[in-house]
Amino acid sequence: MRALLHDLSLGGEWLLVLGVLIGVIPLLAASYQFLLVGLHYRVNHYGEVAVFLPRTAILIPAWNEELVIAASIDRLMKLDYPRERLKICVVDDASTDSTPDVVKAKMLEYPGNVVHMRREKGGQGKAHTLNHGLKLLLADDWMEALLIMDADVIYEEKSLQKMTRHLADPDVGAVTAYIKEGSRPGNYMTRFIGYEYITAQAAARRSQNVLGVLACLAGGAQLHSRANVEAIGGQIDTSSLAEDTFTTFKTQLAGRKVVFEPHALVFAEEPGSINALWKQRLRWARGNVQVTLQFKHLWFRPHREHRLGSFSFGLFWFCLFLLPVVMIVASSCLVTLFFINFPLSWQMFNLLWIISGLTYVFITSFTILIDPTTGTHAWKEGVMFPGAVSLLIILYACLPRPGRWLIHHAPTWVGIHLTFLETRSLILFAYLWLAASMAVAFLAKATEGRRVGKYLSPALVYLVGYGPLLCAVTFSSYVKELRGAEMKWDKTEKTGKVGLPT
Amino acid sequence: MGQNRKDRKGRSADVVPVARTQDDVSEELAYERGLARKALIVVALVIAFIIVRQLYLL
Repeated sequence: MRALLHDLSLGGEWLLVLGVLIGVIPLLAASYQFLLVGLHYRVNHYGEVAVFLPRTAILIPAWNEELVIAASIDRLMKLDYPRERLKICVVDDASTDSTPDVVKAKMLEYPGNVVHMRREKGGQGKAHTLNHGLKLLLADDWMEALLIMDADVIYEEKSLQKMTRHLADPDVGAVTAYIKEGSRPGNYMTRFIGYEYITAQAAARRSQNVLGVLACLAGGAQLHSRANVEAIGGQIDTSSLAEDTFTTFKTQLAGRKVVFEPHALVFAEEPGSINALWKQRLRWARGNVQVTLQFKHLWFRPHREHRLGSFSFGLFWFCLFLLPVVMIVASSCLVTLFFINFPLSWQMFNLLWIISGLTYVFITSFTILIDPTTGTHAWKEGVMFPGAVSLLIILYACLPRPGRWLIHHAPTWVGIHLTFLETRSLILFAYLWLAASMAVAFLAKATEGRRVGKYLSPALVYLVGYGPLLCAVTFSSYVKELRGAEMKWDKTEKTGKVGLPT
Repeated sequence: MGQNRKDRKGRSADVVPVARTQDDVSEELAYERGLARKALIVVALVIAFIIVRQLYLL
């Protein structure tokens, strides 16, 4: 009996070790993704591009955009692109502010280039608004390419022609640009987002170019050939909160390529507070849950016509999608091991955090180098991306001697002498942190609206990290989807503070 | 431009340029080559860190 219990305990220990090792997978996957960026100079679509300037309809869904729409139209008219080949179509989703008047004034200023499309009944969401405009655009054959953008984004002069050149290859159905955070002057949150966009767009989408598959066309910058718009049914999916991702998947399922053009730069205003970010990302995360379920027959099933079923793509998708689960599993396994086999738990803890540290150093340094302009602006947020507590754990794991010295001596400087039990409690806290950081991120959100939150919320974000904050949003999206919460289109508030870098 | 043609896979592609002029992408390719070099440098630094750490711990 004792032998059996011993065997069971050993078997359980190995399961727990496996649980901790699961926590390493997203780290290795992230490193693999960034290594692929280095291959983009060899595997890219530049060999197939040609000077190509199709008649392009620019579709802008707009609901109460009086603060931003005029500047956006003016900027679009300054694009380095033949004016007679541009048509800006603003689909006014029953705005109640002066958006219609602003657009009508722009129609007079740019005759033949600006069109006002009014929906009398609005509020159904972006996809419905886009479909209203698409129906009108497809009614005649003027449009050869379609650019879908947001009302607040600003395109660099040459960005559109850098995108259209890829459509010279008829195998390409859609092209997306590199959206950068452009709020001026911005704050700590926009800098975090600016840094995140280097990793999520400039890096991740380059690696997806290398793999020949794209996860998502950016909602603020997606260019389609007319043939592609027609092939996907001439409509944007209205059944989910991730219409951009649905369009991207459908394009690739129809056998057309989707390309990311990292040198076409587009600037957008992003949320400046935790609550605004939470609202936006919850919508995205819930959309991703819907996409994962809707396309469940595609994952890890290679196909000749598209790369959506490739192993690498599935790995990247699920490492992000399941990251909160992975963090909770790894943390729980470490804590359980702590009680049943402390030395083994200590080894696993060190292994997990050393790999975490190496991944952090590689990704952070490379991210800043990928886009030095944004990197210079947001390097502090890049360094603090995992949060101060995680950074201390990484330092301890990677540099154990000075770490141990610091843990033993630092408390004595303030007159505290840690007992054995207190030291073990500290270790237990470190084991728990992977999962606990998400709970503290919830606290950062909860306190933001309160008087104390003005300083406490940003401090908590720096403490827990922006990454765990996003994981908390993803976790919240699981709960919302499981509970079948209402799909509400919460529009991100725009104030017109976006600008091109000077 | 704007003519109805079939692409390599036999699909109707109504946006196909009649004359293709290779766009100048030398700047973009140079940037991408630079990124590959930066990736190598960062990987080398990480490996150097691992070696130094292991030697230090010995």
